[in-house]
Amino acid sequence: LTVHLLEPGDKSNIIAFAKDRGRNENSGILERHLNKKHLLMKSAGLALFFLLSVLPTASLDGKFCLLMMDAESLLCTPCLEPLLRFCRALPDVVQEERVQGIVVFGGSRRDSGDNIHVRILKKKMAGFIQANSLKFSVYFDEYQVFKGLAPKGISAILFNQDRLSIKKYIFPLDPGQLDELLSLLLDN
Amino acid sequence: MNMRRVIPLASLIALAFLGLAATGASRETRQVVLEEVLSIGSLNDDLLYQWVGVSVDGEGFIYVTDAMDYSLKKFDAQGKLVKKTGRKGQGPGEFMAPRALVSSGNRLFVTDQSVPGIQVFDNDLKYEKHIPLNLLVTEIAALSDHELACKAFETGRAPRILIIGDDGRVVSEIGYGEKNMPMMMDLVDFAASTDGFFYLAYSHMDRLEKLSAGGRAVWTKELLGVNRVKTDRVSSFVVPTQIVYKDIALDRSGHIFILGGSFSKNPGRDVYVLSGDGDILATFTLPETSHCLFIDERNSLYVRANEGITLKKYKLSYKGI
Repeated sequence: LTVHLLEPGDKSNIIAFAKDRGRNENSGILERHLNKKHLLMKSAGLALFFLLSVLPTASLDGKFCLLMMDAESLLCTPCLEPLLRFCRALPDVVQEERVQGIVVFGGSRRDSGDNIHVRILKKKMAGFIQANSLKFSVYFDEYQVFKGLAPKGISAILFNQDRLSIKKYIFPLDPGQLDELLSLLLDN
Repeated sequence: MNMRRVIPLASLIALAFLGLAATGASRETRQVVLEEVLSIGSLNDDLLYQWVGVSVDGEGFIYVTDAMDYSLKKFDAQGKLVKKTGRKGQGPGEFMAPRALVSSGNRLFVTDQSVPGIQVFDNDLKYEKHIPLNLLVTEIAALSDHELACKAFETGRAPRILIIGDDGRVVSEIGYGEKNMPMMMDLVDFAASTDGFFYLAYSHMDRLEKLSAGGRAVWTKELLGVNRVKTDRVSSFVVPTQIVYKDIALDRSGHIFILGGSFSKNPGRDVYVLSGDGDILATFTLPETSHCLFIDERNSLYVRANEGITLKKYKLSYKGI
């Protein structure tokens, strides 16, 4: 695991992120090296670097899906239906191990580091995940690291190391896109 | 003195309130005073995630639909969760996007934004039946224990409020607006008075109306001087993107409460209080943004806080009105 690009200091978001993924051995390494969350992942490039560096080490068979959700989309439950259709097609273990939700904060007044708003969204998301029996974990991108990667609404970024591909899908997916995404993620 | 401590302890929240009426008491003397008496749901519990509709029965029990966990919840008058029902689905007692509800007699009538018709529950949240209305019902009011007024989403025809029996039979209908209004789920919000009148607040135009039971306009008002709202093109449709009025409610005395939208100084927070004749009496500002107003039989006002994870209840009182 390469961490020399990262600055020393306090605990970082990325540690929590790594812990969420259940790879405490990695986060332990990170904790010894990393500090300032702002500096750590202040660009989407670094975020991608992290993902591409760390994720393949974690028995994911090189397949991983980031579900990017802009914060506003969480306020409209019917808007989340296409996401649920995708999740329902995934076995629980795949959701747990190969899918990571990321809530991205955009440009509205509530998205500028408003801690209360973030806490509210976490509460809503917890209710939504519980009600729908979703298994993937969710990272709340309070420092807008992933903002540049996420269009408005919901999208998926699929990493498939076997095919050396990174591909973005924007929800709602048409049937062909859904099949392709599932195929790449499940390796059918 | 520590103001952060004093403010929550103050039982009266004088939140408001400029009287704007041209007649009667002076604007300085007209006030609506809110006293917070109950708060349900917070960041520290799992009572509410995104409540949408609220209603209160004769015993003071509070019923709430929650869109985020597809549920219908019952709270006692102290805010304790008594029961919760519902899960995601389209079967009996299930919801896809629970929305409006009304308590009438010993029953609850609950609508779903994504499923046509109305579900009926008893006061213990036991599912009773489905009223087979082949329309998406977006707002509902009880005219009697066996008669409901419904605002439904329909395409290809002039907007109307349907008066239906509890078997789904359409008794009558009240047309409103214009035939060329955009095809939207929420063109108006309405409130029905006990003396048979309907009060409408238009969502995308500056228009308030009082209609007779037969649909005749008793009066029409504009409050905000809005000529037109912004629109956007979605697919082949041009749809409004600004809301003039978000909701309307009546208190026990027949005062009309209007929640302002995009054009109000405090969107989603400014409330205009009108007389039954449509004269503006006062305005006040809610502490937090709400999507709706509900006033129960005891003259308590229910509004949203914390973006839907909190329900606030205020006792309403008036000065000079």
